Amino acid sequence: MIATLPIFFALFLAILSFILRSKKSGTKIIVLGSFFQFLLANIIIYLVAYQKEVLHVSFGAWPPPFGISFYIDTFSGLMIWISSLLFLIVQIYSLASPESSNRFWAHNFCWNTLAAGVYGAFSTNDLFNLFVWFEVLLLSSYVLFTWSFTDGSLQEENKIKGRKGLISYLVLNIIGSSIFLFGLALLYSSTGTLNFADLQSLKAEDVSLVIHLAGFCLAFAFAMKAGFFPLFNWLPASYPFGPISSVALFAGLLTKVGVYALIRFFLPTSPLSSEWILSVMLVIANFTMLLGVYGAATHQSLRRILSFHIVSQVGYMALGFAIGTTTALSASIFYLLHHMVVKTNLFLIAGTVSHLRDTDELKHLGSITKSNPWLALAFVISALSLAGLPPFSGFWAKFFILYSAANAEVYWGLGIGIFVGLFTLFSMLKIWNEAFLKPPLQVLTYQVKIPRPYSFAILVFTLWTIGLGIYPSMLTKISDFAAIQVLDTQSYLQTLQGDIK
Amino acid sequence: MISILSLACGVMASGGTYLLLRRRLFEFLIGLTLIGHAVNLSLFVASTPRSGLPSVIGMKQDALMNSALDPVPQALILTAIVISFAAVTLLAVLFRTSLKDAEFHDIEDIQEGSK
Repeated sequence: MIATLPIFFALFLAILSFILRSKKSGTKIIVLGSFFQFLLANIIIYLVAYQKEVLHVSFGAWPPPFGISFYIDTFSGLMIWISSLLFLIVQIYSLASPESSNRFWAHNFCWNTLAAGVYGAFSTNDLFNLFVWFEVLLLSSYVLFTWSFTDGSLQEENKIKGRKGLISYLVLNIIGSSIFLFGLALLYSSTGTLNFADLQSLKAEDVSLVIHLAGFCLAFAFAMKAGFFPLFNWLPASYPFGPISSVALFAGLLTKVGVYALIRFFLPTSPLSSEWILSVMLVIANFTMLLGVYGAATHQSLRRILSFHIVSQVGYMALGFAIGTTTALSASIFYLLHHMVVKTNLFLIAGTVSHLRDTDELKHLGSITKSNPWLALAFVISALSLAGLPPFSGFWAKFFILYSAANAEVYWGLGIGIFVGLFTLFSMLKIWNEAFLKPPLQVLTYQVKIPRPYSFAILVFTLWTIGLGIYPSMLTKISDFAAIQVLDTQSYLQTLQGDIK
Repeated sequence: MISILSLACGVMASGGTYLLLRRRLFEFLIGLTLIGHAVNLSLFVASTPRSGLPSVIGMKQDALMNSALDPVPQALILTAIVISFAAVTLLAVLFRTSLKDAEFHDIEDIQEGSK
């Protein structure tokens, strides 16, 4: 029963923000609700990771092949926990950002339906249900995007670019969803089921070409949502222009939902997966890392550079997934937990910089180290962590991925991973020199004061990066256990088929 | 029956793709709708409509007749139609406001930000 609580609570908060739309204290109550959501996620992570329970429920008491079932193991639990943390902290950040000036209750409504979609995608066990949750989160994200056109925070030329970005985001995601659905049609026509546990118990000789084709369609759709190599163009086209709090959240969450779905449904034991999908994925991972960082090196605007970095960092997770051993999966899970927080933090810092200087073009920025030294320090910590330097969480994340690549003798991945880390550092240095260090071209009158919610959000995320860097074993044990649990198909089937009796 | 439906599915998908490549906003909309319908039809084909008996359990029966349609794909199509309708409506609103504010009809115009 507790497996469905995060979704219902998020939907409840969405309705509550509509009911309280004219109350002055409405927003505070919603933020408090998000805090309770986070506490609930803590209970879930305690149950799944420390009590070693698996939370599962079948709706309407229909046994698994017929009804929709939810299944939260440690991997899902970790993802739900980290996303509820992001939802809470970024919502606090959005209290002071431009989005709050225009129909904030509707913003909170979409925010919570987005949360429901994300939690649903992390906990469902049925492929069609996964499609529905994907659509819930995508539709909410489309609506959240439009806030930047109405709140007056964008200049006119950026508004037009933003509209074009949003159109490509929408169109490509609708096409991706169509391909996803087409894959489901193929899968259903040849197996007669969309339940993942049922698919897992297919015999090897029953896996036909149609299932492989369906697997390809699904992998294509997930890769598109995750922003992998040939299909990442929607991401840097749209992310630089959206409202900052939503974009920071999308940067942390949305592409990772695609990565999660790939890891969950394309394990080596899954009938959807096959040898060639993993080997193609290995090539794609390398290209994703390289092209993402190449794009970041050539652009000159803060949020554009950071958007390209999402692409290159997703490549590391794809590398861990493509290697497919237990240590590699554990490393990928650790990487997800590190990356979601650091990336969101960098976007929040970029938002704060554009709040202070009214622009995020590198050539107009400068001397933030003088005016806001603490912000500069937070940037240094997150940037070094993203590039993978020792005292911070990024070092361990990259180290585990590259270590598993070396163990599996994937030397190409190892070499490109190190090379891309170097280039990440290079483009971070570019931001540091241009935006933080150099004296500005002309003397501008600018704000110095950072709103309190901004500082709070950035402080929490920066502390997470430092803490995880100093004491990584607080998560490595859990992520190891999660990887073993994900690969353990037998106990997965037993848990779900136990419902039938 | 299945071959006709599959053919229709292919024709709609290719027509939709052609319209998407035209790069005009209005044709984008029609193209996406066509692709959505093609996918829904392919879900319908998955239900193997051999006989066409309705999937309803009669008064004196306790199980579905063997020759009846599989009801699951119909439920899936219903959900998929609602979702794609919502997404396309949102896109239509976005196009409408884009046309009203900036008066562009072509994706290239948006790139230049002119006209």
